[in-house]
Amino acid sequence: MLRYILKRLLFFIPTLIIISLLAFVISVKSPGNPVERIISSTQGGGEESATSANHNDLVKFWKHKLGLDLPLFYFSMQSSVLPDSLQQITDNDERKIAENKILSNAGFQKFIPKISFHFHNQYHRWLFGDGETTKGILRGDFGISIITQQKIADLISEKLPWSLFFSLCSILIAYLISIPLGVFAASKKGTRLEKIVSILVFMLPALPAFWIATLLMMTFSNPDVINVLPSSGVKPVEGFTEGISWFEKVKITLPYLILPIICFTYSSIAFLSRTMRVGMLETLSMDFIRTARAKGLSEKTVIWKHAFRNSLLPIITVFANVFPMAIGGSVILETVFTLPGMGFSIYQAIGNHDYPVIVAVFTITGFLTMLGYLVSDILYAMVDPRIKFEK
Amino acid sequence: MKKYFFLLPAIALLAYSCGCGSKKNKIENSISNKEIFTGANGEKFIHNEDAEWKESWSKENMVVVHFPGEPATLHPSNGGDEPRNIINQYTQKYLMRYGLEKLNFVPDLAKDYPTISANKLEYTYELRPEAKWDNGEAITAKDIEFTFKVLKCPLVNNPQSKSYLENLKDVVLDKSNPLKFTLVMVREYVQNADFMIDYPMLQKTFFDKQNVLDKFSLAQFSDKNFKAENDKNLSAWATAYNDAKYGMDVAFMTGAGPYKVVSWEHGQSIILEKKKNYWAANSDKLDDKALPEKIIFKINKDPNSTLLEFKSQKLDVSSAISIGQLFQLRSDSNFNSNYHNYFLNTFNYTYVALNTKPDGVKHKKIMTDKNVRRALALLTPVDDILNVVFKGVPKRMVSVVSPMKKEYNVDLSLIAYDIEKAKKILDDAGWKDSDGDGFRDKMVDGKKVKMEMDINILNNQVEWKDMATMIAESYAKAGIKLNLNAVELPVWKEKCRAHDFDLAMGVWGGYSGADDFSQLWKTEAWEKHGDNYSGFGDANSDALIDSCRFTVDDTKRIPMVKRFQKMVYDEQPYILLNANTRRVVLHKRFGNSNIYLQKPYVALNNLKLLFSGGNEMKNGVSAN
Amino acid sequence: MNKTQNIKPFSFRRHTWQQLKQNKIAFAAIWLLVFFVALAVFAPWLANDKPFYISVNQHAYFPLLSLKNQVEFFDANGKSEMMNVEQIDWKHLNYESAIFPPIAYSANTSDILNSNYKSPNEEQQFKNANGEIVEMPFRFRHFLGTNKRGEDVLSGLIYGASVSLLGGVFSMLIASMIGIFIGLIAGYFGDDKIKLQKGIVLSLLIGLVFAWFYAFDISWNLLDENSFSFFTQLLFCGLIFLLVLGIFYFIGKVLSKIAFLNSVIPIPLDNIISRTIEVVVSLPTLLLIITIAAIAKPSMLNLICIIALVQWTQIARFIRAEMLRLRNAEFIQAAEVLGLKHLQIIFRHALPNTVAPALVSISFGIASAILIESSLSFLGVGVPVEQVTWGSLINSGRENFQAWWLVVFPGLCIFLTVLVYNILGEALRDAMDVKLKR
Repeated sequence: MLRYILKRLLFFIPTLIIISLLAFVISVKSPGNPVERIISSTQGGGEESATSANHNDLVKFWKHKLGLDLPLFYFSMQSSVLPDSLQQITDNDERKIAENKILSNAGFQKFIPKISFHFHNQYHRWLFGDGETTKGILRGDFGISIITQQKIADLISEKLPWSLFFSLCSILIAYLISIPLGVFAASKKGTRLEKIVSILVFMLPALPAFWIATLLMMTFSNPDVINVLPSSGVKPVEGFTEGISWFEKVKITLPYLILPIICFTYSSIAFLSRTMRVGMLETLSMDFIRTARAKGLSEKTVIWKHAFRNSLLPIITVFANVFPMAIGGSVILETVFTLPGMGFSIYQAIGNHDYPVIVAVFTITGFLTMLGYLVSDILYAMVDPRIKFEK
Repeated sequence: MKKYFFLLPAIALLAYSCGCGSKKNKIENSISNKEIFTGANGEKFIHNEDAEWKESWSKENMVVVHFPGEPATLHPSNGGDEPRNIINQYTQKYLMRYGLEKLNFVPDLAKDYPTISANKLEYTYELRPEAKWDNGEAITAKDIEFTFKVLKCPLVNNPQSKSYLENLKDVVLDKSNPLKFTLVMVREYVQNADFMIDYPMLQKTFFDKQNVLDKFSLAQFSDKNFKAENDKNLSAWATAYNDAKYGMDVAFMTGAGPYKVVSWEHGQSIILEKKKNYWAANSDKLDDKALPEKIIFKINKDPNSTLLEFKSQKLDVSSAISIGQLFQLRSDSNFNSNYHNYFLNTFNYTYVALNTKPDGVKHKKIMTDKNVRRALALLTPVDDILNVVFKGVPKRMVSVVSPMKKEYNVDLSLIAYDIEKAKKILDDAGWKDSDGDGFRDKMVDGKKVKMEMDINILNNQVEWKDMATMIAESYAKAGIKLNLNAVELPVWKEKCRAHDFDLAMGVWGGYSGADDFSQLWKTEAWEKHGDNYSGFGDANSDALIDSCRFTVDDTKRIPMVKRFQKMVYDEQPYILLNANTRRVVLHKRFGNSNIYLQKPYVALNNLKLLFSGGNEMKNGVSAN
Repeated sequence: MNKTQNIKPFSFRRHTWQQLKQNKIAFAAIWLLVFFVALAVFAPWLANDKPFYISVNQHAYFPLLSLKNQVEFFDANGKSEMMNVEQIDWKHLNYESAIFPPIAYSANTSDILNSNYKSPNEEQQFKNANGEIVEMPFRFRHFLGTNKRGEDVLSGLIYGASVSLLGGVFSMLIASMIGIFIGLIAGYFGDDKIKLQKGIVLSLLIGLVFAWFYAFDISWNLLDENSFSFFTQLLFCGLIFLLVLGIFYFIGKVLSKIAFLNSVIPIPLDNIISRTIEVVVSLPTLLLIITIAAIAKPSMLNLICIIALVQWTQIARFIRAEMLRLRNAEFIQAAEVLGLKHLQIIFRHALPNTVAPALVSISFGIASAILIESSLSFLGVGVPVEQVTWGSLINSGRENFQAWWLVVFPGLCIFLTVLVYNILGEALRDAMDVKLKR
């Protein structure tokens, strides 16, 4: 088992490289670039005001400064008719036009690939830093955000705990509710009660999170209805009074968390409990259950002692998805409740083409996901002894 | 029978939601725009009488301000978003500042207005002698010189401001008086004093302990051939200066303003606290006041949640809620008795830019004819749009200059919606539906061109989508196909600058000072991929713009500006929609609650808590 | 039922169908689905501004039925003019008689008089032929209310059905085809069942680089992105990719004749696939979609494609997990011992047994596809702006929370769709499962 885990951990390295490269390529290749955002004073709402006249010079200067005029990776492959100098054109559209012009004029030569190598490239810069402000990911530095100049490590350490907290809390609660619900639905299959519960469960994911969130907010933090829970933020705006105990802090914070956690949780209950139900039904139809029943064991023992463990497999699979969900999936809820999570900052980073942030976040999510997968695979082995890892 | 079970919960939900809906009251559509108070000395703002204290109001002497988004950074020179500028108003000091009360320039750190030399190129200022930094050091002309060096240094990350400073040639210190200095300009220019309002002054001893910048002169930084990155010391200083900590970490934030940033929780709140023993505590100037103990900027991005926070009086001030929200709040009687609230006209306007010089390949040559552009303007149902999307609050815009300004050309008339007239113009221009597909077409350069165009809008602006949809619907009635193209802000901007659009909706953020039209309307700004998106202009208009810029004498300048407005009106490079409205909400528990006509609309530092029981001790520091 | 089975030889397909027919709820679900599909297909005739038949000034017109866009329109004085049918405001004409579709509004036309969120039970206004504003005649009511611009919600629901229903279904169809195939292969072959000669492996590895070049560099640029959709581009380039790989496979076969490249090595197929899935899954779904959507032009087809590209992993994971469990089951081992071909075992024996848990996943996937589309229209990416979808309707409810009808009705539609697919999925599972009934 230990060897297997070590082997898997070793596999992390190539996967992470691929993920970071993929994130790199996707974010750099998409139209638009961060320079536009830093040199213009345009506000988020599209309101423009006076800016610079020598725009082209500025773009060039900043692209150079941020290293955006470098090639993407250590090597690149392109048609042999395209000169290397094309790589210097940083504007995607412009380069494409130039490329197409050459390609359409070239004969069959264009089908011959040419590999060129670049030592100084953007990926290298990300790995080893630019020698001034960043030290590179290999030395533990995620770099700095292009837009805010904030250290990405700071950004993540500030927001990731909240994201993880919300997703772990919600997945825990979801499991606590949906596993018994699924077992109940499977063991009482076909009864009227089961059908009503099923339909109620189905309704949940059909309603969008923002609406449920607003509905809850309008009910529980509205002076016209019930005003018991705060509607935004995760703690009182003026901060805690000094010298207050840890327990007090939790007591004050708790009301802020109730509504968000409900909203994070409700939609996965349906899916998890249905998955559990199906898994349970599958197991209940197996031969060994019939044997157990034939032995005269009580229904309770059959279900909880024999079937339950075996039907956990599919539901474990879901566990691995907690982490990507934690980071990417909560943009909307974070907006509605003004939560300090990762989702919104990444959404903004994508909108601003803040490459270092995007790549860093994708890589971290990748790492966490793989960790989740490893855990779920280990859990597999624990639940189902038939699955062996060491061959 | 079993099927009915499906419907049960649905009906329950429906019933509940109906309950929510029935609470909707008929909303008063009247806009109570109070008379603008005009004082004896030319003050212009809305004055609110102090309200009677209500027991339910919070007695905390702190103002909670609603922010829909947070600043990217609070760095004193690097950055340019609106939240940052608002916070800097209270934490920083400027040489000159835009006076809220009279909408004019007022000295801030400067003792008085500058004396201007005969050739109108030298502005001599003197600093206030009592002005001090946080560590007790006096603010001297050296700090001012340092500030402008920093701003002009090519290695400093403030690209937004660099171009403004191109007109600044030198800062000459007065040898006899450490508080006196002269700013030397390159040429006479209408905004030669105005540019100062954007730059907080920096403390030399805090940001440059090694005196690295002493070795360099402003002239060096202005020189395009100067290679700043070759100097190791300068590079090292610039890297250190550009560090995010000066804009993020409260321990490294400093400024000469009456407030200090004490905490910034990203995505949550920014807290300012009043400085103790502030050097200008006894000053009468509005900008020096510091009445509330704390100013808290609370971030809330969700409209419904904001609504609830106003209902439960958790927020005191906002200038960012939407028109619809304010209408919704106004239907609540509690809200009206707790808050002052106003719709204010601003100098910003919304427009649709038309590409008058398309390349003919990717974008067809449809709007090259100014009659066609006029037809498109006639087909734009601006009144309907404003009524439906903005509940009729904003005013229509006729000219590119705001009607609130003295330069506004009153002779221009609104372009009223007239579909028949537009159809006739289009018919006359040769755009007819020759193939019966429902859309007009015409032979252009030997090819049949269908009257089909794209309008670029921003993907995060719901209202733009509504507006563009209504325009498209109206165009379809006259046989013009208009497709909506929602893009991200950087892409929108790139496309506009590259002339890669047919129509593009945008907002221009004007201000109350004299306009410089060169950025938006000079042909140069089109050729160099600047902000003249539509391709307006010729030699004539360029000359006129330049004379508007470099004439400081109002009696000569204003007629020229009016002539320019007529020119833009006739050429129709834009379809002007509306002047944008600001929505300002302010809790009645504060006195001095004047609403100003310019950003930030409310002087937060001058809000006086009306409750007077037992709080005097706390407030004792301030003179009031 | 036992009787029929005794007479005819047992057929799995017939058995399934018979089982399904007995399930009344499942049948109801099928009918509901048929109803939705009918809504989607007949949308232009169910909800439209144009009437089927109208008679104005003693002249009869058939705007909705005629194929031509232009019509010779006679005014009260008998003068005629060629007019475009789309540009005539039929409802507000002074007509003698008319037959309008059940809902007399298209999805994207705003009714200014009834703008600003008119609820279904609120008083609605109508401008009659003389220009007077009167109470809305029952015939033209907005039965489910309107949104901000006065667009009819019911009409939006009908038009949205095609996009949401078909979009959700197609994206999940593509996703589940990819997912089931890849999951089965990974689970069945594991890391050791496929063995290839070294030469082929080597050749394929080199081929991968070339395939990438020819498919995604050369061909991608050959197809102009303005005239081809992202989907066609992807499909075409994918085919080229496989083609080049195929060529290299044969090159590898030749290479394998060389002695030192002759030996066989196991291909860790499961490992490769699992890692690929990990890569795809670890890119946060919504963010991935946002980034891809920024590259591809917003269109429904592209959106379907993008959603499918990120959703298949879920299904593949499930199927792989099930397959791993079944790999050691007696009947699979028995089939192997009997010498059946791999593909035969996978698709005839393993597939029916593994698909069951995936069905739940798929039916929820359809719902989540619809909701992904709704969050995308919330963020303003990927979905064409003019397109009315259930998701975009729900989103317009975000602006005004009190307009409950903008959320409840589309929400109900999504709920019913999910329910229908789930019931069908489950019924199918029960029907296919031979074990349960024995």
